Amino acid sequence: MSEPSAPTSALRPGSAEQVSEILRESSGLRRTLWIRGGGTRLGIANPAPPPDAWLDLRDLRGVFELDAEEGVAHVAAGTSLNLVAAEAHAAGFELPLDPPGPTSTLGGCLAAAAVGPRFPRPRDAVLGLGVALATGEISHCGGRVVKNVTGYDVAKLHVGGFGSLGVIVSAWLRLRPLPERVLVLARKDETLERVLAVSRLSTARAAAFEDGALVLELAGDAAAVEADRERLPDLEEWGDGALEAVRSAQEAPARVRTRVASLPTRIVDASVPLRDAGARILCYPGSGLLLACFDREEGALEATRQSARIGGGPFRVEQAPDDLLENVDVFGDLSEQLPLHRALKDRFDPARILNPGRFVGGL
Amino acid sequence: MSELIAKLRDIVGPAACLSRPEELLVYEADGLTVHSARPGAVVLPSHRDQVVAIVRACREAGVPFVPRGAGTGLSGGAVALEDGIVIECSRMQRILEVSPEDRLAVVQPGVINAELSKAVKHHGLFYAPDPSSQAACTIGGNVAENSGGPHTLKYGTTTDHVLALELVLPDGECVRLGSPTGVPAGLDLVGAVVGGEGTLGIVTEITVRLTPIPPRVETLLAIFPDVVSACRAVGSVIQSGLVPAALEIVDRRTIEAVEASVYAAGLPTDAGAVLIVELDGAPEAVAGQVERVREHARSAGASGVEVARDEAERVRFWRARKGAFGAMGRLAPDLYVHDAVVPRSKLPEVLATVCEIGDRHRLNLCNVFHAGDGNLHPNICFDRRDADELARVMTAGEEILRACIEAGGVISGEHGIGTEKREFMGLVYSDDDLEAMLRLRAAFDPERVCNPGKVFPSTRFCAESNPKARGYDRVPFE
Repeated sequence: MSEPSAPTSALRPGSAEQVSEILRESSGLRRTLWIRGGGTRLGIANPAPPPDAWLDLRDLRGVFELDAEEGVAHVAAGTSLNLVAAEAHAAGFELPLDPPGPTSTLGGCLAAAAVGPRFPRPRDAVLGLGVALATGEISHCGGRVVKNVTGYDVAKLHVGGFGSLGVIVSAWLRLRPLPERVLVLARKDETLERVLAVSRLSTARAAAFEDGALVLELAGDAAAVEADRERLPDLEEWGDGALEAVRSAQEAPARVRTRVASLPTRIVDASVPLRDAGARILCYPGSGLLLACFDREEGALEATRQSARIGGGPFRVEQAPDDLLENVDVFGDLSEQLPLHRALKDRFDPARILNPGRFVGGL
Repeated sequence: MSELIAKLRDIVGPAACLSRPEELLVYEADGLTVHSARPGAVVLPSHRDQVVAIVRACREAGVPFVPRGAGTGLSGGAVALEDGIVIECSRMQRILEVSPEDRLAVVQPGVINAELSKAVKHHGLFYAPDPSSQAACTIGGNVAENSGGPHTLKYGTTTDHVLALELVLPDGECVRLGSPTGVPAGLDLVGAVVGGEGTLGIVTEITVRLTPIPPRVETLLAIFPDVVSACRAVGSVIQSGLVPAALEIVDRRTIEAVEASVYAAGLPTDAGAVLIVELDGAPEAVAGQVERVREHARSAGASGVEVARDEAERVRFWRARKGAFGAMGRLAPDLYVHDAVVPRSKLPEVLATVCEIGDRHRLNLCNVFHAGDGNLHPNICFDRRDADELARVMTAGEEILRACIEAGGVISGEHGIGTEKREFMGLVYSDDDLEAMLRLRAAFDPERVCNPGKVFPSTRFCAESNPKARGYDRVPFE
């Protein structure tokens, strides 16, 4: 759906404790809240009545700790992803998250499980989370260590949970050592079949394919990157700009934007219905994602559904006018799993104050 | 109970339903032998529909049930409390599908971990999680415990390799979670169920990711005068940006036990510690990495660094690590394998504390551990028939956990909480933290019939959260 119109009021807490107070009070008052960070993924939601207030987390800022010895960082949810990435970089690490845009916040990126060309699973970066529950408690799951099975892995519910079960207030992140060598390569006139093979090279960190053009980023051990480079004599070397162009393509304006996850062997076939419906397709073969932009509404959702059926994975509608969504759940067809989603919502947000109506099944 | 057992016999056939005391004996404990309880009966279903029928029958009878794989777990997770029914999944052992091009396999829960890797080897693939018990443990059990192993440093734990699940919920409904693409629709329910210790339902089918076998593997063995310098080498390797497949430390006491056993690997018994490093990946990269690791080890004080010249030597190096548990079996009838994680930089001081605790309680304690992950495994050899020694083992165990928490760590890295550590959960988590976990539990199993008495501490759990007040979680195990 399109970005919601101006809210009645905006609450901007400056600490986790203030988030907790707001939520406790809101649960009591049944005051509905839409939660936001940088605002780059607000459009991914089922149509719902406007909230009583926004809960804006952008004042929840700060890198509390960056432990270069352990390669971990503890960061407040409203912190700009670019800032976290810069601090990590200065300490010799990379942040394994793809910022969807320059305004993206850590909490927003995790809540939306936002992906880009490099890192397909934001959950992999998360060691622990601080979460304000709808009823006001601040709960922590996981921790700062890199291996942990102490109790349930509740963090998995909040990464990609779109704030429907709780509000992420902070995270312990696992950073990665900066790669020794990074090389961005590109070539026009590629086929998706060859792109699939190339994306499986051991040093391929990002691969994107759009309109016959491949952008490939190799990263890692210098000798391994050079060896993979030699396997690809017909690709030209480019700068970081090529990857930035991919990010821009991912965020390009469109009337309807959808995403389909596909098995590698089916990705070529799964792209056919999308192309036939007139979509521009950006493909991340390494993560099996097809991102489709449609300039017209006709046939867009049908093609997306068909593509997902072929690909063997779920689809998601990331942007569409409300009237197109009357009979569609933007989070895909997941009727079998709906009772569990409902049961979780009942337990975590009994007063239905967190992003009500916007998540799976109108929860 | 007899009515229920008759019903269970109808479902699985008489040969697959065990209820005589001598048949139940083996199911009284898992790998944690100090916690035991006799189940009401054991059923061995062959397929999902039988699991559904068993779960429904148990619910109707108001009897709790517990899924069990091979029973190799080390936290009491597969033990049925309160005369519960054990649902053993070992007969569901088919590999249903292998898709080499998509790098995935669909398996039943009773498939043995190492068997899957063997079955896909000719495709150039393997199943990466490799707990020490991989020759016996099942993938269903691995899912319940989110099992790790020596190679999780690079490859991650079970949760990183499970794409989709078929789950029989505690109310008997069967749902499919996740997708073979690894991208969830809606909430990441697969991520929540993996590591759920069999309390959220019974997994009846698992879609796992397969990993390409690395084209080159190099194994190094470095000898150190003491554990502290071995830990320093680990820190320096990791800080340099290298990501080895494994970084394992074996301490002096373990070396002595191994060298005195059939697992003898030819290690110098006067060494303070040995560090095993495995590097794998592109041949062009690995060669240079071997030299870098050698240099880090030397700078940290290694007196010698060997690189395995062939597969036989590689196996010998690993014997020092993998034979440790067997070697300790010679020293005493019982072995308590602890499991905790601390920030890697805290390893030297925590290890010193752990050894001091063992000495103070006059226990035979040795350490083998996943140093790269900060995952400690203090092992205590003892005889549980000696009540005084058993009491010292339990006290020392608690002190070890407290020391790890004090250092910023947690009380389990790969064995789970089960019955073993549930009373210590409050040391790591606040009531509000546990409350969130209880909400997750309640969404899947509101009546708490699926593996009750695990994960959560007993007192608070019963007082506030058990809707049926059945008191499953109040009943102490024997």
